[in-house]
Amino acid sequence: MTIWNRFNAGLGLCLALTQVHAQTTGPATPVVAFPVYNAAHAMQGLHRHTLLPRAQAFAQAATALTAQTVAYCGGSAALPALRLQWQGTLQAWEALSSVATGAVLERRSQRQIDFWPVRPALVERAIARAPQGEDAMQLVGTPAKGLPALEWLLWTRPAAPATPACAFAQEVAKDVEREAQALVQAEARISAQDWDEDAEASGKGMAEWINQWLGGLEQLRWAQMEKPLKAAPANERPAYARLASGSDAASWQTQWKALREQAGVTPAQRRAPPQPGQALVPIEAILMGKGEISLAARWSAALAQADAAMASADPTRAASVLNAATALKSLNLLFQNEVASSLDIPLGFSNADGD
Amino acid sequence: MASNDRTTRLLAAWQSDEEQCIGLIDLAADGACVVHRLALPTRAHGLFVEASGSVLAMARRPGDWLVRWHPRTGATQWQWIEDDHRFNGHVMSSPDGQTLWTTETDRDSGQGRVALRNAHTLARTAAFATQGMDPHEMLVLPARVGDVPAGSLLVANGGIPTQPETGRAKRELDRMDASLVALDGHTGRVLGQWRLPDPRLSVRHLAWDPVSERVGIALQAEHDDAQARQAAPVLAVWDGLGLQTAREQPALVGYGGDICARPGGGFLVSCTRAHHLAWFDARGVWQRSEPLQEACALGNTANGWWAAGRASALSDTTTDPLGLPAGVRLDNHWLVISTRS
Repeated sequence: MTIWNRFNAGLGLCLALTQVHAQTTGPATPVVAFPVYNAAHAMQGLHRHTLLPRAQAFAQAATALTAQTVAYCGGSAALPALRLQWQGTLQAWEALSSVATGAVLERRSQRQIDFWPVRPALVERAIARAPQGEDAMQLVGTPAKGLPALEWLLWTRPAAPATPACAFAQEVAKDVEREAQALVQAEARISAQDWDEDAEASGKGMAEWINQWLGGLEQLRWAQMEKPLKAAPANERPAYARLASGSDAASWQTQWKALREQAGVTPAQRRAPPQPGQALVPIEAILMGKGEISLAARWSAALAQADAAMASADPTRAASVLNAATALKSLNLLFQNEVASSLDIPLGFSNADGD
Repeated sequence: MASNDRTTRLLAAWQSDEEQCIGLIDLAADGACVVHRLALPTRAHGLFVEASGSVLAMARRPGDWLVRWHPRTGATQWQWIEDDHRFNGHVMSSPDGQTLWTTETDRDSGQGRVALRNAHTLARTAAFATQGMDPHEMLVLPARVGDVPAGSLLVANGGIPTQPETGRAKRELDRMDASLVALDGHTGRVLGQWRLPDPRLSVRHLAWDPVSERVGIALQAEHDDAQARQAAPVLAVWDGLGLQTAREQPALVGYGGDICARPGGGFLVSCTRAHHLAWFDARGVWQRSEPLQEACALGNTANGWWAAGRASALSDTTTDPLGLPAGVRLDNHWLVISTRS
């Protein structure tokens, strides 16, 4: 019997009697039974109840971004309104992509529309070429398009209406919108998959999700928060990813929220655990369903610590950023050292494997 | 084997509590201790000792930092990789000390690169293709082998398709294309390229055997089928003409973590997942194995070898396992700095 066959076994048994923890739910400690979740339940919950709605929300935001960009370039909308729509689209994108699995990974969408840092020289060249339409945009390098390029065109060197730069901004927005629509289609296909019937696909999907959750955590902790601080020359501001638009704090919160909801159960879920196949099954719920009560409690406590540290993370205060990064690192270690192995998931991102 | 009271100083990378570190470890029969250490932002992988005694360490793939560290003074010099590339874990200096080579992946194309870096500033000055994906360890040939001249740069193209967004997760293994490539280390001109018949064997770490004048290559199997992976060879030998996988080897779980040359010729491979060290002759014929829990880092001199496991180490002159510093979990590699009796 393989790991995944074992993991897929045990459907529907209510084995785990858990006490709710004071850190997250207050003094009341009701005893709640969690179902045993299998990989198919995890995939159904993740794709149908989280990623598909997120992809749809992103597509809606991207469509609005295109409309707003066209309106601005045509002189009928103001730059602040367009900037606000860009920020809203970024949030919708990060809510979908912070744990890059499923359609986002399959399509390599991060590379397509969120390649950072933007290359100004390539953007300038693209403006001069004036590409129009999907085929022409495919010839534009990824460092010159996507949301970071649009950020550059809206903040770093704002494109004035009725200029070649604004025409390119419209093409970039349309390109993001096309990718968003393609993500909806791809995620709809993945969501419609019969996960119960294909244990191998469920197992692979689950392993990818767990690995990518860790990858998303490291992306936030190191690449987005700690590294810019450490790499900044003395007396210079850290080059955070969304510095130009001043969106880093909101971006970090969005990413953390996406990671958090897939990691830990909510107070409401403690009272009424997610039903298999009917809702997102967070990692903590899977642990409880497997009877890993003590580990689930420590995982919950580590998440709560990270919640507090992340809530205080302010890009203008280095100490607060480092404090949050430290909390995320502790979470990372607990995940790598204990949580993933309890889920029988081999980790590609792990510190436990070699190279 | 006979016991002795020598002390060996090794450069190693490890995890300790919540910290990733590199540092110097003194290893002796009566105990081991960390004598200098540097905390790192993420896990290190490849290590290199420069002629001056300074140390180079690189982030594990996909990595973004390279550091030069002076153990005695504690001084550091950090280099952050250019944003369109990622480090692949190994760095080495050219024989004249003027250039550093680093293996990297182009984030956009996913293709392998060797970057040439100014040895003083660590800044990138040029780069060339490795003719493959996932380049890992490099080796400068000390002598001519076949038609490949001395001084050529050998690069192990691990061959695993990598994506920045998946980090180390392995996808599309059907596209694997591992190879050993010989390059002119200054121009990138291809001098030769060799592939194993089995495309699921990733070519990762290299060792030069001065006795046989052959290169040993530690392999890591990526077969979907568990039985094929278990039985896969952990070693290939390159003689300038082609690659020969290990012969008469028992199942060693298909994972060679590190490799070094044996005194007198042949190769030693750490089989981390099989919890064994494996001895091979210079033709790749398996000789014997010895147990060592989580065997991985291997270091050697012309006269001896040292192997690290989860909590203890073995060497060519010890009868009993040597303890490692408490709380230290070593990474894939370590290098012998000095030995004294």
